[in-house]
Amino acid sequence: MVLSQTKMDLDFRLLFPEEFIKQILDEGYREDGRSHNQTRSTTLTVGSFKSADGSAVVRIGGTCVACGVKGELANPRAISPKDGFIVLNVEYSLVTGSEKLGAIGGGEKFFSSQSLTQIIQDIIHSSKFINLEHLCIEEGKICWSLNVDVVVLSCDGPVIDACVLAAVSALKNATLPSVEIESEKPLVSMATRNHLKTGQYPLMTSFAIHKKEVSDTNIGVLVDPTDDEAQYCTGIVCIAVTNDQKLTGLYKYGGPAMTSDDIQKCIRKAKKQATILVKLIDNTMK
Amino acid sequence: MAGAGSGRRNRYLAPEATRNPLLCLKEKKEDNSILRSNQLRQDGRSCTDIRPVSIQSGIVSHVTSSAYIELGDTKVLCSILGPRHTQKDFNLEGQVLCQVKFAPFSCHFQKPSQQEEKFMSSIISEAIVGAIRTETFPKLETLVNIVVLENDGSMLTAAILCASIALATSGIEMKDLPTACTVSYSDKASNIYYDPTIAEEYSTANENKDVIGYKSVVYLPLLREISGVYQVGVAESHSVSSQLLEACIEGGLRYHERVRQYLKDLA
Repeated sequence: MVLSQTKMDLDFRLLFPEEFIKQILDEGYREDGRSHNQTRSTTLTVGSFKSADGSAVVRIGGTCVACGVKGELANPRAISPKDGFIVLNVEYSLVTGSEKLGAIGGGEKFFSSQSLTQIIQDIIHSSKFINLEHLCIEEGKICWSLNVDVVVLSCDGPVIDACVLAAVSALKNATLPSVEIESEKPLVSMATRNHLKTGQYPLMTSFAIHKKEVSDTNIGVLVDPTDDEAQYCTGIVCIAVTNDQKLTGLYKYGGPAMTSDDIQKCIRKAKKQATILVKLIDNTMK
Repeated sequence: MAGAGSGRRNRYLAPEATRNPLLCLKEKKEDNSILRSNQLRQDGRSCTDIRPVSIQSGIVSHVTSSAYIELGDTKVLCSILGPRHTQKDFNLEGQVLCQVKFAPFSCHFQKPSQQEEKFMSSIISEAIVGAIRTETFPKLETLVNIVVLENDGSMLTAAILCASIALATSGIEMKDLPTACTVSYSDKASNIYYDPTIAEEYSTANENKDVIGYKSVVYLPLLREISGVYQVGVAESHSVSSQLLEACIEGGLRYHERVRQYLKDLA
């Protein structure tokens, strides 16, 4: 149900944005007319950057994230001669205007680019998405190092969900040229390119949590919060689920204490959302 | 400025001594020529054709205005912040600060260094500031942030056009809509290629002997002023350089028409 916004509502929204958002959340509404349990539409494009070996652009509502994968030839570490490398970095691009965390423009309240990087790297490794041994070209001599760069272009809501989806899709989209070794030197032939061998992949869903003012015990949970909603909610829960419905990561930052029932509810919703995203990826990659 | 986007110190670094696969190619590319036998370029354009232009505005949330442009495969995104208060010294003229960054995956070979990015920023900044009525926002600053998502040649053209669309939709008063064009040229300007792709652009690493330089011109069509010129390579004589200048202006007017059409449809 969309709220009918009168002149007074708009003035109230402008002068007391925090009060406004808290009040309508307490009444069970959201500013854009969604229910608490409803996500925004997600779009995914792959292979749009020809300068990268694999790429993806994700939009969730007003959030926009681009990711590119570039392969380089590297020498494996002596301690793990069979393994290649995945070097993942997330950065807020200049255009978002968030010079400082949450300052002007759309700023993510909860995650700096470094913590985004760390979380996404963790869940990609822990879900066994890419076996690093598949990146080996010759044991102990040469292997692939994949530079996965996620660039946040516009922040309006769960940046982390978009980043995970973009990184996963770009890696699934990536093709690497075949390499032969001739007298210790690698020879790359661009004509034959192969997709990476990928396993199960993680998908992330975020929930904002806030304490309802009317009753102290109740907390409200919003799936896929917009930037404004996240700004005035006190905590966030991020749940990573693999494509075959296994939980691979759960992060809760700030906010009121949650009962295990509340968390179970979120996990169920995250699993439901994951099946939608898996379908989206499958349809796009077809 | 230590902010988002420049946080290179905070990045995970690739392992040492990596090599770009393009340096270890098995088969060398044989056909380096720009023109095919039928006098068309490799992508089927004639020398004076520009690539298709696609424009979209307002895709970045929580900023004053934003624009996205594609020239063929070159993709540039620009956002405007402000006018807003500044910590800098008092100035009756508004300040326009322009920053350009390349996305890490934007280039086929290697991403430009921070110095090159700074240099590009200063070129673009000087070129567009002449079109903005800075006296209308005294004591304030406006940020023009540009991100190059993919560089497939004519990046300067795309950045200028993108900035001018973003400025035009931001409500900041302007005297003119800056437009730009890049051309690359062969010896004695016998061939002038409008809107070159990265393979047709001149670079020192390029084995392509056909192209000996390129020139970008920023033009203000209503004021009939040239607000910026950037040339790499040799132009032997005065006639060659004026020929290039005319070609750039002519190309710039074509882009201008396209941008005007977009803004008209928007309004």
